[in-house]
Amino acid sequence: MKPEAYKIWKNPEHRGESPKYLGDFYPPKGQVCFFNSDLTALGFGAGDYTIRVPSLIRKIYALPEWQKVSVIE
Amino acid sequence: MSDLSRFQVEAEAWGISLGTRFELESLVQPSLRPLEDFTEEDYNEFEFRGRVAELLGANGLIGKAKRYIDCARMGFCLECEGEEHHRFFSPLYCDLRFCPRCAPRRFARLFARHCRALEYIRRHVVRGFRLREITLTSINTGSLSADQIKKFNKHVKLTIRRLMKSLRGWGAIWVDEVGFNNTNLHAHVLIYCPYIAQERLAAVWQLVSGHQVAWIEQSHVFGPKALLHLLKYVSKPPANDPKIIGMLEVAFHGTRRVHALGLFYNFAGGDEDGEESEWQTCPKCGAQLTLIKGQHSVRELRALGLEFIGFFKIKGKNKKWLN
Repeated sequence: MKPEAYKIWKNPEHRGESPKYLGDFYPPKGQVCFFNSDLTALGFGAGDYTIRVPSLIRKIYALPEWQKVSVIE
Repeated sequence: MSDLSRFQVEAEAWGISLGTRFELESLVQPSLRPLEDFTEEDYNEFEFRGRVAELLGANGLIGKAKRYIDCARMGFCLECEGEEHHRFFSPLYCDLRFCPRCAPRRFARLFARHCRALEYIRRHVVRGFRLREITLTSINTGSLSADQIKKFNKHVKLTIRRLMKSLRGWGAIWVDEVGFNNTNLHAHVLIYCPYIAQERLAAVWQLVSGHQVAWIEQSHVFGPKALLHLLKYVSKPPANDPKIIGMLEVAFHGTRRVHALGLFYNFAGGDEDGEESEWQTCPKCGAQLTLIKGQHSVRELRALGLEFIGFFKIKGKNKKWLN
């Protein structure tokens, strides 16, 4: 069974707008979180991203539920 | 479309709960600083709990490791069957002995369990008997194991039994304790008994255990206060080093830390393990409370606007106490 994935959103530029859901992703092998270079490699441009860490990973590695990554070009 | 409807549609499309959608909103809005509510204290707690859990896991206590990490992070929802359907949340606690959050909870349960003996003592005074405090120490070996603790407890029990031989109406309760951030195992005993000379106590302790240092004095406080004084050792973890906390949890796995003999054993009551929930009825309207199946993160439950049921407990008890 495929493990629960990380969900990634791009933060809105203006207040009142919804974040843009980019889909379900997995970090590169051996990592438990995303770095900005990983997001660049996925083809995401500059901006702020919010990532939801799957519950299983959170439990095992004692990670917070939300991760915030900024990509600067 | 209202914000709520929009959030409901988005939550469904993105495969997350409505609570998570609300939480996401507070994180992504440009005017709000993300993760603002996750303070340095939270990160430190995570770090600390993670290191303790690592040790527990390495010693085969996987279940305890998970409970320790997740203490009060997950919770469940309670809904009342009254007309207004009041909803509350209650966190899931790890209830481990050396958890900074759960140690005071254990202390409260132990106090409730053993204070009846003191009430009996107050009503049935035995001539010449007093509440006395004994300290029995052991040699610090630099490490602690379950066998070592079991053997130590056996020695304490045997010493008290020898001292109380042929006497009636006595009672004793003791707590295993270690020094702060070290492995200096000793026992604090609250005993209701006649006068015992310190020399005799030390001689029996040495004969039984081989350890030398033992001390006895008449309790400076009376009744429940004496028990409060004894159990204070249970109320806070004896270390701020995750390695020591992990080691203590492993060493005390399957071993009690508080032991009772005589009167304290006979009158022990209450729910030490907290299996009976206090929350049978709604604190707002008194209707029956129902537990809604499923666990959620406490953040999620808070984001849904649910109130922590424990707040009502504190208010209620304070009022009772004042009256």
